[in-house]
Amino acid sequence: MDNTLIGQPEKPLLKRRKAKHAMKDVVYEIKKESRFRKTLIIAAISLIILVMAFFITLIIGSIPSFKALGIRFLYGKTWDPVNNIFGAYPFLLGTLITSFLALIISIPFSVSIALFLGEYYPKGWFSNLLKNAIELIAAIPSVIYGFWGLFVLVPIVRQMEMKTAVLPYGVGILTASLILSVMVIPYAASMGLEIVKMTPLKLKEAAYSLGAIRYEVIRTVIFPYAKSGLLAGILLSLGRALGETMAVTMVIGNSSRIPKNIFAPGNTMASVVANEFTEAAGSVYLSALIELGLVLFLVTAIINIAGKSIIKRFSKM
Amino acid sequence: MESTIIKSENFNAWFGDNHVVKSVTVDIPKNSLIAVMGPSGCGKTTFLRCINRMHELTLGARTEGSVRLYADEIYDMHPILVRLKIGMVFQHPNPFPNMSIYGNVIAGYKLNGRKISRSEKDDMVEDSLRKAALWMEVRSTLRRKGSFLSGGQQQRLCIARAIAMKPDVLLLDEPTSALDPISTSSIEDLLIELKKIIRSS
Repeated sequence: MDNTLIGQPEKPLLKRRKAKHAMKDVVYEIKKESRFRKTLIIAAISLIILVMAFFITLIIGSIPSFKALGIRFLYGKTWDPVNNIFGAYPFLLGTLITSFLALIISIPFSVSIALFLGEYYPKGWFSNLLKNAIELIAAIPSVIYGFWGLFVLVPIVRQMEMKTAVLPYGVGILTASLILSVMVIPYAASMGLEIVKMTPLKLKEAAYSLGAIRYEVIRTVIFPYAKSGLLAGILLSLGRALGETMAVTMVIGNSSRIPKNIFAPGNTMASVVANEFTEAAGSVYLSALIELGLVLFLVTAIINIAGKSIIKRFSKM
Repeated sequence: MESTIIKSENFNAWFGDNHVVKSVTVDIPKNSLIAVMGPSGCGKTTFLRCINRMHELTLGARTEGSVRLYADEIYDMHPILVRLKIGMVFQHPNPFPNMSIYGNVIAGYKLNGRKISRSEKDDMVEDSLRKAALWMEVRSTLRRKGSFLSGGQQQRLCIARAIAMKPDVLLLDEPTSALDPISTSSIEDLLIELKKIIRSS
């Protein structure tokens, strides 16, 4: 009896100490958790601050130009740095035309590749080759596309133009769009491919069990399922096309006049900024280039937001 | 022999190295409801899928032996033709989510590019839905998406979709396994009814 009484106090003490220890561990774990969460929040917030800082810098930088030119900057048709006349309209037009033209050229290819890899040949040496080729296309630096365009595509386009009635520049809107269309294929193709692959097997089986051929399965089952994803990929490639600078500037002809047709030389906003930044002498000139950057920023943002709402509407259907 | 619709002889199926269906020989008479039973993983589904050649969608599946529909060897026919004559209902209800109830029933015709007139379509939809015991429940909501229906209704819609094609044989792969007891018994009653009005197995 005594023995047990003497012995007993020891045990709870030991247990309590252990419990205390465990509590410490838990507190430590909770602290670790909150520290980890703070790190994540810092990363998230700093990104938002960065985007806002970009935006604010562009706005402050373009104030002198805005004071000098006002809203005329957007619809002015002449870009004459010598006389301090800056109208961004030719470049705005050039950017939009090259991007949408590139998109129209690339869509048949990227959708076909997405369906080919997603549904017809998901495995095998040929599809692996194709997948690697797509990744490579995305990874090649744009200056190399510019070179290729200059030495291969420009002579081809010039030959083509010589046979028709247009002036054979070779460089111009069409050449830039062709280069861009190659460059943007990977974005739409790889995103579309993932969505096509995600089409539920049970829906495909339902169609096959009714005696459908593959084309019909793609048209009535896979396409309705994957269309919002395909659209998202196309939007991604549009964003890429709008901002592409190096390859475009090498083949577009760098003309400040409004292009009369798609064979004529023109220029895009990104290309002008890159080309003329080093030679911008006056403060208004420099500011006009920054404002051009701001317009590009806004155009990209607007198209992104519009595209997202379209995707939302499509995926509801 | 005239009354045999499906005749399989020494039929084997493999997935890769896995021998799933081992020399099945069976005669299935016309106008009958035949159940295939066995523990899970014994190859019931595989055997069914081999009858309308759905197994060919799976990579690495191969078969040996013969399955005949009447006198024709299924493996000498075009798979599309086989699937038109032998319909199938799956374990999980799979109506097309982008089509209305009406569209789902005539989906087979749409998928095959067969042109049928408006009134024929209407008749077929009503007839198939009646046979699938779904008409009374959905006749006022035919234009709504099929995915709004309950699980049991969706499965009956899939049955209607399969019988709209007027197949010679209807394969049902555990059509009630994903459903509640009430839907299960209604589908079982339905199958017995179907046996009386159309040929099926």
